Amino acid sequence: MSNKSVTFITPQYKIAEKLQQPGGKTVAQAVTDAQHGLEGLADACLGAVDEALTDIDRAYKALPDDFDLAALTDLYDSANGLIGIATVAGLMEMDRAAYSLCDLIDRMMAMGRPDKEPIAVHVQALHLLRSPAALIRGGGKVEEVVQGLVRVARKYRQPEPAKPDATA
Amino acid sequence: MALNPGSRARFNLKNASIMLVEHGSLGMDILVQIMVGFGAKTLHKCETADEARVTICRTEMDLIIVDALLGDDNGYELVEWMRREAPEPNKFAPMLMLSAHTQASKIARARDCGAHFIIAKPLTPVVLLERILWVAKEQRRFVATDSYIGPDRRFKFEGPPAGTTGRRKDDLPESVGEAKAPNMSQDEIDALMAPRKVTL
Repeated sequence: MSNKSVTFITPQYKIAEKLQQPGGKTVAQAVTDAQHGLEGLADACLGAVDEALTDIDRAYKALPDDFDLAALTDLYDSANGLIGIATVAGLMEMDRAAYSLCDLIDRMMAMGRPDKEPIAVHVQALHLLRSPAALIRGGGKVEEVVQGLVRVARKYRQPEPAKPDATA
Repeated sequence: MALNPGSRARFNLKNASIMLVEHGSLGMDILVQIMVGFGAKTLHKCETADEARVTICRTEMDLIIVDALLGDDNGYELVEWMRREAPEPNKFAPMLMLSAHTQASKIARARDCGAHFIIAKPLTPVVLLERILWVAKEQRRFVATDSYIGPDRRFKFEGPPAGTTGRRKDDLPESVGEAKAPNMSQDEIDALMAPRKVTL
């Protein structure tokens, strides 16, 4: 058992008292009002999504073939900045794709194993998901694109095949 | 814990003083729109960790919401600083951390920084409200050690994992032994659950 000293403190949570004061809103009204407020930001978020996509493209093109932590971090930061903005713009699947890309890059950084192919697939998917109506008109399905990214990320997690022995 | 978004339960954030720490202007706008929709009137907006440090030393807060990414700063470091250095009662204020993707290498840091909750983006009003109401309802006690100051991270009471003995003083031993009295009948159990009129 640990011999570290531990102090327990029971603070006063003033937020609890204030929440119970008379007046205020119902949960239903509050959620509706918040949602309306977010709808007013949709256009601004769409602009930010396009800026983030440009940033992701730039960072992807700058990726060398061998492992480069700084370049991967730059791409990770660009994709991470998109998460949360796309949903407000009505493009929830872009958030899922950006999350998948961040997860993939995080694994690459941890394993020191670069692979531009799965990254390319994610970047292409982000562009497709930017215009879901165009994707659907072209016969594609939004959910299939996202599920495809899941398969790509899962494939990357498999161990790298052993290289043939040069001396054999 | 899931909050029913159609619930008619009332709450009042009008008089609550809330600090929002978010680097990007659009991220801040999103947070502000949600909190204003909830009825909050007193919002202290900080775009950097330095601004947040100054504000928290000057004004008493009822709730603090911090983004994990603060440009060159680090949301986890800010929360750790607030738990150790902020004046009372702010050092014990409820703190919610917002995070887009959290790197695997930083998950332990996120868990141990001292925030009450880490909320994943994209942010939805119902999830944020659920966490605010939960924090206020549960009123978790704080634990202070040399390596951690923050709400008690042990808030599940499911007993120790199977096959292990518990480390808490009130954990039951793995084997609690044979029953010493007959089991309750189903009628007795049902009677415990039945509503009864109380005479005052």
